[in-house]
Amino acid sequence: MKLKTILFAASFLTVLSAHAGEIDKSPYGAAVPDTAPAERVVEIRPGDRWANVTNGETVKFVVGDKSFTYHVWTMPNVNAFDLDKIAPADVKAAGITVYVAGSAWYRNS
Amino acid sequence: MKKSLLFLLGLSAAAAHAQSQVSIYGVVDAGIVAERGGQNAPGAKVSSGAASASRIGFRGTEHLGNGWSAFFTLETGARIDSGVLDAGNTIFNRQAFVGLQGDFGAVALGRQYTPMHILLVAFDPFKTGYAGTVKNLFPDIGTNIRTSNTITWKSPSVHGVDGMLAYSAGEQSDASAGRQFGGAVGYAQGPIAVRLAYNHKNSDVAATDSTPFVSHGSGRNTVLGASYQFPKVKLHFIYGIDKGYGSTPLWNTGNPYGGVKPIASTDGRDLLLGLSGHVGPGTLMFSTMRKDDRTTFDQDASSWGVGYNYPLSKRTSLYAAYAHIDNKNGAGYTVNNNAEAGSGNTGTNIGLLHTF
Repeated sequence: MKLKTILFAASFLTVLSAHAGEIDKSPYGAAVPDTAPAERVVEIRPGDRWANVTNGETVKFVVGDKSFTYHVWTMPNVNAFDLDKIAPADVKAAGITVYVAGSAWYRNS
Repeated sequence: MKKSLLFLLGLSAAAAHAQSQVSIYGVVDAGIVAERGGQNAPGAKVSSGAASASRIGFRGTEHLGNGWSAFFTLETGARIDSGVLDAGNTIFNRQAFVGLQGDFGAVALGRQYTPMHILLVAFDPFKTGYAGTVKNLFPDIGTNIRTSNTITWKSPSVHGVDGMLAYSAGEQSDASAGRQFGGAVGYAQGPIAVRLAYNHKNSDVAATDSTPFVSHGSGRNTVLGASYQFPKVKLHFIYGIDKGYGSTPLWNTGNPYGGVKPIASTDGRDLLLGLSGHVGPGTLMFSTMRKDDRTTFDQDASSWGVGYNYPLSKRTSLYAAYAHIDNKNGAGYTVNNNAEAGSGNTGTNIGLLHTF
């Protein structure tokens, strides 16, 4: 009986974890091709410490002569993150905080 | 017959191509809501939309070239505890508009949120949902939330500054009767956000062949919101001034506590102080509010609320919330949530929220 319970629990957890593997848990969103149409262009100038975006936006970040485009879609408990966590390695994005405003898509009554 | 079918298929393909982006989106939210303190408080019940009103919407954008685009939104609310529509005989009660966007900003026509409501959603730690909603004491109700027959203009953001104007025609024989207008200006740079909004609603009713002109005058709301995002905690502040008839409608228009029926204030001040932040894997929300009724009835109230949202994924969350109101001098404020008026001065929500 005990073995059966353990096997059942193990199989249930396996199903759960397989399912969880399909869930989008990327904390900040996803990179998209730099040629994709962006809803906002954010230019990071020398000395800048932050950028403001809205959740659900596709944003083109321009840093010096480099750029990359990112669809911002954060976990519900993420209001801000460091730009260098999503920037390609050849983009100098250290020290920039991205502040994320709530999406108008799910604005409450 | 086959040629007709091919022709129709061709048209469909062309339409799909021209419409560069269309999305179906929505919220399904259900939970247990328990209310206490009112004479008709039902105790515990299954409710829809306590944290975020359940809805389904369609949204589209077509890029027109030269930086211009057309956009639309059609959104309807439904109660998933029973399956009924939020509003009878109204298919898109929540939002319905079409507009153009360009370097000038965005202009839209239809049924839309007011500048004041957009401010309250942005600065309330509960985003106007859960038992702790700003709606408990602030006048975020009815046409203070959204209006029909509305033209809006939203400016682009320049160096963190943006603005919005809204005008809603009363569409009565008297041009000023029933009309509403408002505006907002905001500043958001890095962790700081500040926004000021104004809302002006005329409640007159124009005369008809069979009824005389009804004069109520106008209600005015001026609201200031501010927030500061620290690495782990966000501080929230909202202050409101409400003056005139209809400026502060009560959510529960019955007589929730018995005795003399509460009077909707025509001169009040509202204050919210709150915070939201990361605790464990989720977000903790807290606010305390005060309503200062400056009429002779002096029906003041104070409240506090706390909530926790535990994300299972980007789209699914479990939540729990609790709020309590102290009414004074016969005030009739109730603990609401995002979809219901509430019937008592204490409310508890436990629920499951999914967005798609």
